[in-house]
Amino acid sequence: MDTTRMRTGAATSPDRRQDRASIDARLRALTIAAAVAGAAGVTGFGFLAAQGTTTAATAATEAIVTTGSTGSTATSETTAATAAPVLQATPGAVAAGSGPGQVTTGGS
Amino acid sequence: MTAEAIWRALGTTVHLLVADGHPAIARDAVEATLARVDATYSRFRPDSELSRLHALPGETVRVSDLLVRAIGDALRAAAATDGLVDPTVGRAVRATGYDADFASVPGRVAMAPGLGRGTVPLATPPGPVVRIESVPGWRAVRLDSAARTIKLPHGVELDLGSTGKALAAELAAGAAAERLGPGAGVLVSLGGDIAVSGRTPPGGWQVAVGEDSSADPLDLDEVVSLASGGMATSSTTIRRWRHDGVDVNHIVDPRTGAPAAGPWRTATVVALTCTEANAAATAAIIRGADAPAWLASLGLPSRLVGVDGSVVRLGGWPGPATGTLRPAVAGRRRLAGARPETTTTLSPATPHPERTAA
Repeated sequence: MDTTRMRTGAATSPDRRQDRASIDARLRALTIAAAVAGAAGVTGFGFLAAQGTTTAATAATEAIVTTGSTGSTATSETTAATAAPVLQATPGAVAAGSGPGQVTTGGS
Repeated sequence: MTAEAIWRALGTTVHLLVADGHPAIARDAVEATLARVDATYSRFRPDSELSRLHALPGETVRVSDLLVRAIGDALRAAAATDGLVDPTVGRAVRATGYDADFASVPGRVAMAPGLGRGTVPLATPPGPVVRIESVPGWRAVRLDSAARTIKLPHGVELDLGSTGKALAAELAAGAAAERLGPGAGVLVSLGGDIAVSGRTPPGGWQVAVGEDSSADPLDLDEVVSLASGGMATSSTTIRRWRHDGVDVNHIVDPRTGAPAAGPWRTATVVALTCTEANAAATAAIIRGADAPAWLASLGLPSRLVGVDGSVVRLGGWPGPATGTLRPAVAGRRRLAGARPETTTTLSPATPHPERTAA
């Protein structure tokens, strides 16, 4: 699967607050990188649908560059890497029933 | 207005619900999709594209978009479940005796051919044993989606029965909704693996939750409303048989090559897609004791039934007290007995009249 691997510059924060900010920025970037994987055309498994992915990929790449900055020069590169896909939930997809069952789920 | 149709395909029951659309048009689209699926990746048809692929081990084979999609989804399911839902269990599944359409499998006692890599006791010694096949592992499959090529090493057989059925439900629901156009909603259930597409009816699709997908939904007390995504159930209670004197089921643990034998007999999961829900439900059965923690970490609404019948709900799965109980009016019950092939129109005012066979 194509995905994006972020690489930042070798910045060293002068205090712990800056270190934490750097980590947070990297986590945000990695989250966005997962979206880029979907934007690369992979459908299903929690990734973005193919529709509109070009825009999403562009925005995500820009965001990686932005959030990857920790006070020194930051770089990003897109490489072919293997990342485990994630099984994703859809918030609000299931709720208590509001009527008699129309269909049954179960083993077959 | 909701209409429904029920028939058999792919060795299981197809249940189609159509909201505000022509049911015949939807059924045509579903049937065409399932026929394409069967011709592409059935492991029971010698003329399927998958069977032809199996006949060319070690070769790079150019295949159809649908087979690329099906195998790609299966490999992604393997990656997302730490390899617990592994399409390369084909030989292992066959070794347990499940080597034909399931209708002809129950009660099989004959030895499957070509076995012998090992034996694992599935009962307390000196009880019976079942021969198993080791599982090559999903990483052995070489899939190039862009080039639409696949290379299977020698000895690797794919069984897409898990994610493949869920994918078929997704494709069928999508095809039907597309044919019907805007404003219509479609639910397709293939043996309890449920995909929805198009407009969601007010209040959502009402899904009765049980352990046997052939059960009449009006006979089940627990009902949930599905608004989007997919729902799937994996269970060791239905598709099981005796092989060489041992009770076995169709869910193979790729770590051992033997049928799953953990603390959960049924798992139902809701996820973004039916395929993901299926992968999670199957992995939960195989994963065993830590399945609740794993499902919770993913935030997947899930319902697990233990081998002792106890039920665990997690990840936002609604509690039983808030579900809708079965109708008490006898006249609203469906026809008793086996569910015949039917096409019925259900009016909104009386959502479940007694239906008649078409």
